[in-house]
Amino acid sequence: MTTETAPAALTTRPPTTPPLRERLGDNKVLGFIGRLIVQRPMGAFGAAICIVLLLTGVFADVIAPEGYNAINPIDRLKPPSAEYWLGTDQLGRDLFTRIVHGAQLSVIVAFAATSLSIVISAVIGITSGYFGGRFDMASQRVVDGWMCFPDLIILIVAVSVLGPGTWQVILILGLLFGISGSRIVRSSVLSVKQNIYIHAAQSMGASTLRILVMHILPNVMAPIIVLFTTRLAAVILAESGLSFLGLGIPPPAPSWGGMLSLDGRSYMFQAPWLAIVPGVALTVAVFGINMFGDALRDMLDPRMKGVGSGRYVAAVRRDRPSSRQSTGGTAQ
Amino acid sequence: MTDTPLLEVRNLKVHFKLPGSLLRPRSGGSVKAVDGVSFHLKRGETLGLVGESGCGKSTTGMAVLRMTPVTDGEIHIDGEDITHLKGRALRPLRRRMQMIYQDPFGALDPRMRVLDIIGEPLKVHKLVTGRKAYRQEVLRLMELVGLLPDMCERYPHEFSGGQRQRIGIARALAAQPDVIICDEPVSALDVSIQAQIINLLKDLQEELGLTYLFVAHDLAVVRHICDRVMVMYLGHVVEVADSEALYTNPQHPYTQALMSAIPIPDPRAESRREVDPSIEGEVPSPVNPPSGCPFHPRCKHATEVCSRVAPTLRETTDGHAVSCHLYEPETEAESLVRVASIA
Repeated sequence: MTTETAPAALTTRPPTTPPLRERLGDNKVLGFIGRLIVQRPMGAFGAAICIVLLLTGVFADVIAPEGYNAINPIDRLKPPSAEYWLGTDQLGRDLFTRIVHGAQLSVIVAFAATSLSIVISAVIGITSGYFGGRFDMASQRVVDGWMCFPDLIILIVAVSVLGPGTWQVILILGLLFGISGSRIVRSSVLSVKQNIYIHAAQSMGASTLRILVMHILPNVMAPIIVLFTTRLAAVILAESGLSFLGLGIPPPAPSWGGMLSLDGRSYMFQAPWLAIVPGVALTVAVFGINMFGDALRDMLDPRMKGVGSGRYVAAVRRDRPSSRQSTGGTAQ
Repeated sequence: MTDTPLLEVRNLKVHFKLPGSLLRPRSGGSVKAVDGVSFHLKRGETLGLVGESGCGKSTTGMAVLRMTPVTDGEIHIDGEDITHLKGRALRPLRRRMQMIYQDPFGALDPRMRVLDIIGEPLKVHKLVTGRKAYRQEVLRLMELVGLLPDMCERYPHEFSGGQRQRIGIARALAAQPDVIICDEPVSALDVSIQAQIINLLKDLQEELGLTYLFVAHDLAVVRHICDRVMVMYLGHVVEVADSEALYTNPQHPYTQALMSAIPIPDPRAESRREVDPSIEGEVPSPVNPPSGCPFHPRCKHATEVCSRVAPTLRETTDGHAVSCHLYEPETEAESLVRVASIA
């Protein structure tokens, strides 16, 4: 019952509006969104950016049906105008169309590579951390060895072997981030597996798979989600960086990084929008994802549920004796 | 009560190897946490396991659960030797023995609803089929331990310590175990809640015919709930007796010292009572236990024999066994000591 009373007491609302929980009913998704907006406005803002990015990616062909390689030599390097919202590049291609399709590319690469990396991180981290001993020793030395190489070297070697292209970038970035991220998962598995509830599950006779999936995984979800969101942003940046260096997705494709490097750098002074627009798009996307990720991490922790934002409130609630006793009184 | 004890432990030894040096990996020696413990547990009985911290009482519980490697000895359940079961063969055993933990805050997975926590043994051992039956069974268990059914969707952090311990008890009961090992189940709780949980455990025992192995250091709690009590010191059993016999007539010098340390809830009585100075010094290291009787360096009745020969656990009166040279059939030298100690 503390869960119901706590937010009402902490967020003072004018008496005319009924409490948020009542208006939203018991719908879990709506309730979650409501709490996100009230408790984490910046997170909600980040979520909005993520949704815009996603929708832009999915509906790129509807929003900008022109085709991102439609060349119009007469309108070269035009500044932003009513006809060309964000201007045109040196070949007369509409920058808005290219940015929209670039969002699509970024979304595809980011989600595919990040998902791959998270799966790799979780599998390596959880098995290595939980089983420990020699298996942990061996797998961690492999990870050590891998991490000794600078990322860029691995990328250059991999691209020169596999050749540039979308799926190659996804594969390489997924592997690269996955292996380094396994450390983070492993370290939180090491602390989670010390908990008595893991011992309880073992002594109950639960299978190892069940313990890993039902007890370890949910309890390391917080770092995994943070990893996912930070990696999402990092992958977008890395893909741009690769394209910037000419190691990523090859030129006619509208990669934001490629646009920055090829067109943006060459015409920085004649047509600054060619550098500014993809740069801003990158910044906003990364910022939005990071904000949303942080908020998500806090909201998904059941201990924070129904509590106002921030650690302070959580600490106050923990120390307040009245709330404890009121829950205690009902059963005893 | 049947003739074969439900749980029988013979000469149980649990030694933990210490890391040696790089060149001589076996030089580290070992911690003899449990060193030759034997006891039995009849169906429906509660055996208390007491002793100061580090005496091996929790390790004994863990070894019986097969959660810690057994160095030597045998553990039987219903006459079946379970000491060497491994992997899958252990799983039916895991259903028959459940554990209640000391820390009610750490023993429940914070990411699971109460419904899933209590029902986990049901799922693990496939004891019910269908969602409806599952839910019904969990709600029945919750009612049994005094939790309201509408709490089943909540998470552990929404409960008080006493309520969490009730959840832990319900989880232990779910598998319908033969033996429940209670590892200090109340020592982390407030005194008022302790009484509730102890009474709950007693009521459940009466209702369901449960068998408890009750590990604790609080002697007053142990007296209240246990039929028999086993006192441990440095990995050895020093005395076993029926609860009342042990508390009214402790025989081993160590038990006597323990009893004299129980606080009396009356300041006047407390100030009047003689403080038994028999225990001095620290518990010796279990890596390097004393020769002979493990208690002899701290025992005021110790003689030369005590430092040479380890006493064996032997029955003095019916059901009262003690491991002390003072109670062995007397030789001439020992009788003198006895006279001296009485005087």
